[in-house]
Amino acid sequence: MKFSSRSIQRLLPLFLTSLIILEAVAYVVTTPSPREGFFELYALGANGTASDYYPNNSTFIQPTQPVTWYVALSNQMGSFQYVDIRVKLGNQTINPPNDTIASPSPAPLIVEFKRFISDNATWEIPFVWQILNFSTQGNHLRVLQLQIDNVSYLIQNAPTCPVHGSCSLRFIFELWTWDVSVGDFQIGWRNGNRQRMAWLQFWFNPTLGAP
Amino acid sequence: MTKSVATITFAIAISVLVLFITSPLLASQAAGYPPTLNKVVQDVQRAEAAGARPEELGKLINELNSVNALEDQLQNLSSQEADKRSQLLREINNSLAAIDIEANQITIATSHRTFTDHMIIYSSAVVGAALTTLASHYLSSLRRKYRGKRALQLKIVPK
Repeated sequence: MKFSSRSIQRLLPLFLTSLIILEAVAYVVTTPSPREGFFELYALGANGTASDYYPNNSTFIQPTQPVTWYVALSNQMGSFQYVDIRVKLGNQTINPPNDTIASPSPAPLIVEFKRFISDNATWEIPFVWQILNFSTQGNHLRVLQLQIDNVSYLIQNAPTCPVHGSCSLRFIFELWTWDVSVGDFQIGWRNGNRQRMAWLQFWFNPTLGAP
Repeated sequence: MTKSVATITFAIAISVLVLFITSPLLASQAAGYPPTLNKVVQDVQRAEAAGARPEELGKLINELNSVNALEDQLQNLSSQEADKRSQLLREINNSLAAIDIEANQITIATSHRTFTDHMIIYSSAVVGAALTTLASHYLSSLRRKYRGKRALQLKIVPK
């Protein structure tokens, strides 16, 4: 095949056009598209389904009665993450986490679960708990000791609830993630300039006997 | 003159390429020992961003989770168990250092791999453009040839 200077002049624009198009395609192929990362935090009941969260479907929990939940976290952030699930014990008056100002709950921390999880992976934490000990002072009930996953925890500054009427306590599960810019955990995760949060709560009514 | 300019340009391009490839290694060497958890996390993130394979990253994450388990053990130790504490600390520091080195090696290897892959893809675009141009030139020359042949076969019919 011979190329005259005339044909080169004619073919050069065609070559440059197809070069620009194909290089643009190559750029699209090699550049990962940005996506909004997020976490999914959820809990399942004793059977690993979204049911049977309480024994006999009753939120009234007696001492040493075991309750089984599976707390799960799915990482859809687009990269591996170092996460911390903080479990707190609250009552009706202690504030839950505030999504608007991205602040954690002031409820006392009972236990935390930390783990590195890959992108697109789900981490499931079996959470088997029971009340080991509580006290009643005046009209208020206070949980003193809890067992979670066969480890016993003495509760400092335990929240109280009224003995008479409805005594409601709650477990609050907060998601914290590692922030490399400060070298510590932050509540939720940063998405651009916004702080996102994920948290769960489970109410229960500690009771001495059947309600 | 032109030859020396080309040589200098080539030398600069090679130097930039070498710096680009070895920059993660230089960064890791500048850090102290033992590396902090935050630094190790950053280095593993760098390996992931460079395009580390899922199995490479999975191994690093498993090792980080092992360190996490050791940290838990350390926190549960009483103040009387000083020997056990120092042994665990040593183990944690050694593990972090090993993970950091591994993450940096993966970053370097992955950067090379990604760079080669990108070069192949962008070069393929040049080859593709050249092939498209040649095919177009060949088709148009065929068409001209066919037209000429047809013109020669035409009969002149007086009206």
